Amino acid sequence: MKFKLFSLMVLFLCTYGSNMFSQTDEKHTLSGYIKDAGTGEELIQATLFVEELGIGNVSNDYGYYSITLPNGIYTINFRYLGYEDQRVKVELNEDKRLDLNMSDASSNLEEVTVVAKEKNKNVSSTKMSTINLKVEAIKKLPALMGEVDIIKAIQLLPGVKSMGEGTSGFYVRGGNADQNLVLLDEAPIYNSSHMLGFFSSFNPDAVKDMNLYKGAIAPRYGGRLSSVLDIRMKEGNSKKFSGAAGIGLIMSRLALEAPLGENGSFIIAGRRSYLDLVAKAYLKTMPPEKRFIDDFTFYFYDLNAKANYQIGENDRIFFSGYFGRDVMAEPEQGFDVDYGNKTTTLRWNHIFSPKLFSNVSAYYSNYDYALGLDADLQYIDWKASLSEWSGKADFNYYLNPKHTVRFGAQVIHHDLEPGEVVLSENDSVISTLNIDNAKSLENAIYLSDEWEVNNKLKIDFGVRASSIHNLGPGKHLNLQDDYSIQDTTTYEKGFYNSFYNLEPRIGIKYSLDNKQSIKASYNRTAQYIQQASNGNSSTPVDIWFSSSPNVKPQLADQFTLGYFRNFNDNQLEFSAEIYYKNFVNSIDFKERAQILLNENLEGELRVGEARGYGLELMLQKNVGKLTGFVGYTYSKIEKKIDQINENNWYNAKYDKPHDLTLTLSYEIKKRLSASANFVYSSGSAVTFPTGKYSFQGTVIPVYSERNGERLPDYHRLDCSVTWKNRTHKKDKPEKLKRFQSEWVLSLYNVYNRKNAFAINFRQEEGGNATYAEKSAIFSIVPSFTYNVKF
Amino acid sequence: MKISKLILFLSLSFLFAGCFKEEIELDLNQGGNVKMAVEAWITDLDEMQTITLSKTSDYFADFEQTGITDASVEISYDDSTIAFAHSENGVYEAPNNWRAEPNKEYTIKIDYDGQTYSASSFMDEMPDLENVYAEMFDVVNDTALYAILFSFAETPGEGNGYYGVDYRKGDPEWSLTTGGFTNDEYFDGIYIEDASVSFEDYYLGETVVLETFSIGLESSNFLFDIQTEVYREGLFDPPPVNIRSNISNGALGYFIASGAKRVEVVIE
Repeated sequence: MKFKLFSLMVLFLCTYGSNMFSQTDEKHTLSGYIKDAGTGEELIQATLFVEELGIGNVSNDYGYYSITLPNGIYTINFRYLGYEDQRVKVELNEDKRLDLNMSDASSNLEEVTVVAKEKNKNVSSTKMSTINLKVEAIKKLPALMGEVDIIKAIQLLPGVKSMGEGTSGFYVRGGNADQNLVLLDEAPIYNSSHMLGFFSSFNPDAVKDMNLYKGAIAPRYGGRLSSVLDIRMKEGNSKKFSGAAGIGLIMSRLALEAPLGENGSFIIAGRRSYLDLVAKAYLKTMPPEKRFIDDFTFYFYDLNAKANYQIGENDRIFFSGYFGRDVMAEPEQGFDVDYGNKTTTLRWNHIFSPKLFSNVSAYYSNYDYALGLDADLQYIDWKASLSEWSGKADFNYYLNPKHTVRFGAQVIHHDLEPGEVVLSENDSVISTLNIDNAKSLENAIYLSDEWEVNNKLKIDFGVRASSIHNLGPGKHLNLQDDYSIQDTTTYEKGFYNSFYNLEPRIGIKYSLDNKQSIKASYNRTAQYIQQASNGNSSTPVDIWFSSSPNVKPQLADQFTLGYFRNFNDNQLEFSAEIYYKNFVNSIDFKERAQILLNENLEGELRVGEARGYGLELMLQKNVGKLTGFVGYTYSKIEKKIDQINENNWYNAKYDKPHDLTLTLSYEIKKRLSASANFVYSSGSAVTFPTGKYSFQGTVIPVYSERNGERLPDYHRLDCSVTWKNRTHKKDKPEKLKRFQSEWVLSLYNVYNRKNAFAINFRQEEGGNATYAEKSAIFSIVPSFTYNVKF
Repeated sequence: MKISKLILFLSLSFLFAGCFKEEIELDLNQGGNVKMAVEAWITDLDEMQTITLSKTSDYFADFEQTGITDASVEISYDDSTIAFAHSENGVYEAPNNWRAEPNKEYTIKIDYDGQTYSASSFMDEMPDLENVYAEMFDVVNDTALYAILFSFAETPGEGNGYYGVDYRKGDPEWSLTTGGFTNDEYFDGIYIEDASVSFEDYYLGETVVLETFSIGLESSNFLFDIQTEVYREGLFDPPPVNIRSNISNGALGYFIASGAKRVEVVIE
């Protein structure tokens, strides 16, 4: 395997190497950063188009662009969603650096032409199964309690499923929640939700840009099977001191940004919920006999911080961090849980030459949780964590307008601490169970090329070679065929088990004409640490496993075919994609698994396969007073795992075949807008009792096959109205006011649908009959929020 | 309503909103999926042995056992085959004079509606119960509460399972879950002293029946499944799954052949 990999890399370098380090005399390179004129923020995926040659390029994840052209005079058209177009005349007779500042269209009183995207970009790009989301667009959507939520917005997209309110995570094209790589400034976030899934971990005031890759995942990403959600934090305003704040019913937030001297900037943003404080104050006003709860704790907070500094023309360093925590306790019920993520990223951007850009970074990410349960006389205290640190280097080489080559490498050190469980009674410890830590080293190198073969055909292709090595010192439980422990092997310091995988990725676009194209992609992904959930939905205390001699890495192969077409002069974008996905070494807990106080957790896992397929349709309108999209997904995801469901295929719990979303935003007046969401989906797959019988006087339920039944269908309508206060000074209409504010009134679940969170079965009083009882979390939820920017 | 009170009201409605509960109608797929349930637990006790066959019933309906009355039921061991005759509502009785013997493999065969169902179980001998007595363990409201204790020598060799139950003589209310079960994973071959099988409280003057069964490891796992099912509803509960069965051809229930001991204790 190692030899084959080396040969492949050599072949690739031989093919392109001669060009990578030499230039012809007739061509020169135009390069630089594209930035927001008001804040100095780099603009990701801004497009530049050379009008004379009909070719173009986009800025990379760090706002850097580069294009090599024959000597000459060119008109370059720069475009970015929501910004004024810029046409720049450039005489190119030597390598030129052009850092471009683009103006936010909303700050201009004059009517300006704002083009949503480069015309037909979605048709002409090789990208498919990829969605770029702007925070400003998300802010227009109605939100629960008025709190803008990035994950909830993602769950509206075709191919992305949610398990409903009160559950964390999201599910992409048949993948489990743990199969999404959620990156915040390159560091993974293991639990992307607050309050058990009611809110996401991401403060919208600190987020600049995000991309969701459902398929056609670029080789620079790895470690998860199903999707990548790449979220980039703002760099901080390098032009002036500014900020944003919001006051809502359950939380408030504040973000401050400012320049750091002439060459840097920073941002710090925090949120804190205070629902429990408000509720406690209210409860105190009630007579004691009417208080239905006395003592509880229920809050979360998070903090984002980032600073960057430019060192010379070609170097810039960034330092960013995230810290979030949830705390929930209800002493009377004997329950307390707290959990949270923390990350730190240090990044260095360097421009070696106008054609060669590099990003070198190191990060640390940690997720930990503690759970306390009062089980009658005994108390269970469970603590667990997982952390990783990583170093990586990414290079973009802009060979010529037809080839952009990317290559890089990454090393990740995983440290999983599955748990220390203490069982105590009357404050005396009865027993303690320490499940051994699992340490491993995950490595990857990748190489890819974006190749524009001709005007009609574009190919993105590459390969990622990845591996994992379990690290000693440590103990490994050797399991027998029946998964019981045979014996234990103790390993000294060093590697003791390795897996290697080659992950080819390819995406092809063929233009039928300039308004429609067909795209296809294939990608293989490998995942080395994974989560297994024993319940019906993901929770913050689900257990993570590293690949080991007992748990092979999971693999997924995804094939996608799509048709893309634009109508009405690019005002309407339509896409249809079908996919098939095959999962290898898929895991699930065995039937009747015991995960508490069990040191042989690997022995509770069972391995098998899974398959998913689906059709995703999307019609999107990005420009005009009315914007939004309608999306429909039909999908299926099934698993076949050893010893589960009598070895037959069964629905994954997140199998929800039909999914329809409609989101609309309408600008009624310049300062008044209204939005609405409608969502419909099939109910989640569940296991229900379907019959019963008796054995020795005990009535025993007969269950459906695993996940053979469904919760009732889910549907909901949300609406919101946003009223912006005057943006420009009354006496000087050409000047923006220092403070820009708005009121947002939201109605969540407008027609008061009681969507089922769970269904329990109860015994009728005084009889043997049973009835089904639906639990729902929300009725109609009105809310209002006041936001201010300065 | 003042704005501040409105805010408090809205906040609380969010926090405690998990309280919307209502009865709903569900269309569960029981209709075309009625199965046969087998309740077959034979022992070497000196009494008539019975086997009950029934159909699974609708989950939401009042539970009423629908017996299967027209099946052919027989048990074979060594070279013998014993036919069980139907008496009433799905209960099949062995011939009056037939008694099972321990240390033999028994096989049940049921023919019903053109299908054949079968299972086998080895009848381990239940060791003798020694030193069976009632011990007072608490006094509540001047009334003494007693528990029944006993000892026995566990059969050497792992793989034995035990079920025990005690109940007031003549009390028809006891069920499987009032007793206790275990296997010999942690006490193979040792002498068990002063064991107890239930949390039932007994009073002075009562006659208590103690029954113990040597049921084998697989059958003790079946009883463990039942206990897990009866007491489920927790954060760490696994997804629900049907209780295991050793009956072939998709029938539910279990066939257990167990050696047994029964003693009576008068609390004096």
